[in-house]
Amino acid sequence: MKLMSCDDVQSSLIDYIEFELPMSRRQQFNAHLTHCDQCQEMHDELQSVIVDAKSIEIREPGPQFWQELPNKVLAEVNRQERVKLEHVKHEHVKQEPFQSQHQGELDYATTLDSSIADSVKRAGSLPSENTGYADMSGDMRGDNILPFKALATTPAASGVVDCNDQSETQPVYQRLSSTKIRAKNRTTSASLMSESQCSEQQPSTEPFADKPYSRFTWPKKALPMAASLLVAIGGVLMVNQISVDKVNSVPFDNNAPMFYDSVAVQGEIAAGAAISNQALASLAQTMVPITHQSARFGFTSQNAILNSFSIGALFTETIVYIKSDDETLVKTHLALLGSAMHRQAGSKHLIQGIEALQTQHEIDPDVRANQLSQLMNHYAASLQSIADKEFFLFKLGAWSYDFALAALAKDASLYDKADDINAFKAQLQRLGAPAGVAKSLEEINARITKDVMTEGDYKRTIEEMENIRSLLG
Amino acid sequence: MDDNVLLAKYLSGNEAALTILVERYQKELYRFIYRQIGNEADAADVTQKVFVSLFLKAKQFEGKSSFKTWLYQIAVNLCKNHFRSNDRRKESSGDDDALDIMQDDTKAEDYILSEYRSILKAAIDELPNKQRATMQLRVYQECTFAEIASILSSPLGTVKACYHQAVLSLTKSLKEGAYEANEL
Repeated sequence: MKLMSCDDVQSSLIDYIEFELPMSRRQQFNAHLTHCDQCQEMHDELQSVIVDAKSIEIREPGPQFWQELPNKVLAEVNRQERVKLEHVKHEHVKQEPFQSQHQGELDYATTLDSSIADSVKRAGSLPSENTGYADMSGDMRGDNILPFKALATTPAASGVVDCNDQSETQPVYQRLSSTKIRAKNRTTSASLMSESQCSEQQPSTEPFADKPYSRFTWPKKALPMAASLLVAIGGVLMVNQISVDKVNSVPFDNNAPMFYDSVAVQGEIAAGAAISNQALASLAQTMVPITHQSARFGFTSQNAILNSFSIGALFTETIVYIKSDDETLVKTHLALLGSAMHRQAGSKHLIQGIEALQTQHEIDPDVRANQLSQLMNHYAASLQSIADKEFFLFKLGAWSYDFALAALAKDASLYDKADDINAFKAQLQRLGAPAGVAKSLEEINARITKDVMTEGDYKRTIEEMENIRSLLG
Repeated sequence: MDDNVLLAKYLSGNEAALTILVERYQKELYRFIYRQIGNEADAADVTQKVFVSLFLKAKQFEGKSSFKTWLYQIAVNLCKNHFRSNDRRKESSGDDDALDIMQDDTKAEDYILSEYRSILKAAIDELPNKQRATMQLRVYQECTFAEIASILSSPLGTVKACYHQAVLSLTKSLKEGAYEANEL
């Protein structure tokens, strides 16, 4: 055994006392201490300081304090929330109508519209400028969908998106259902999954393939999970300011804007009431808490309500909710999208389209979902024409929601995503995204390229997606 | 029941979950805060504030760290705020010490022990904030170095170095304190 010098021992004594040394080194320590009185004395001295420090008395309050503390905390939390609510209600009354508040932005959006139109025409993916959303018939369904899978591999700088490939021209939600069919068809020969896993993933007998726009059921099953996932991982809302507090991971500091009662706001949206921008902002803040990282790495501007990544996810999420017939959530999400479009200088055409969808709850969900898909494509094309970075983040946001749902449903389509992930990783590195994003994507890639994905793999995949969202959203 | 599950229950409207979480952590949190602040009344007040702050922000808890780490992050922050707004730590701790030591019927042995603890306590109070927090999280709260790094948002190596330095400083202070006592 190699002998240690006194200097070596004394410089690592605390590590020794705290059991931070590997076993081989501990043995060397033991051997040295046995024969060196000086080091042994120093060891005893340091150890006694630590032991004695523990014995310092603490003056504790009486038992009554401990008994009362939980109730005091609860009462104070409730009181402060009531105060916030009262304040918010007071502010709410003072709010001007949203439209008049943002007239300037709307005007800007209108002027922007003409430049966007060129890009849209190039993409060839949208209805003509004269086509109103109310005019869209069922015949148009599926004709104008800009596929996110294609977006993921299309060079953003090219400005042209090929939409002729019908196999790729499915909306996100529809592609998910189709991939389930593909999974079903290949289960017998698939070496990728165990038999038990395959049987768990058998879709219902609903003939998705024959009726591409018929309702599929799995998002309904996944919805509660997806909703909780979205609460945890969702996008970003910039309200007034971001407090960057390194120690406290809570995104907002004590000076952050007051919260509205999110349930009450959703109820008002569902009832068709005019909602103030601040109430919507507060709602989004509650549903999709802001993260510091997004601002830190320049993915969220101070002027944005939601960043492009979050808007992408929100579009996809709204489409899923439309298909699941949850009108309150649909209206809430459309309101958030509308609000974001105003702030992000979305075209007037887009804003009107989203507002129209708010009132069209009686029409067929498939038609409505398709209309929103087209609006999403319109927005994607407009982003592509003006900001490469925003466009990329947008499609990544939409993709990530798609991916998270597939992971939640343990869908076999995950196995096909490796190319997407590599493309995203390269683009993110180009944009200067935090290293954690690339690491998470690598981890996801390692999981989904395994022959058989275990429960732990799915769980880890979702956790890594959460990390990506927390960094970019 | 797991902390995160209880927090989720509280968020879904179950107030009993809050009670369980507070009861689970109130004593260890109070002790941590007391050792930071050194005053019983202020420690009790800050303890309550930490819990209130935590539950008001519960919706924003992302679950990236453990509940306990998050709790201590908030506690470290509020202790800092306390020091900023009320720089009374040394005075208040001095009051407590005097009460501890000056008992008429104290036996000589107890007195020496009290004196020793008094020196040690003063030495801990004199440590720079980060070293003191590291020392207390490690020695009293028995956190791992990785947990401390997370709570203090510092690299692991820095935390270990802080702890190392804190123990050495305390040893040195105790030696000097003992020398001064002998001189008297």
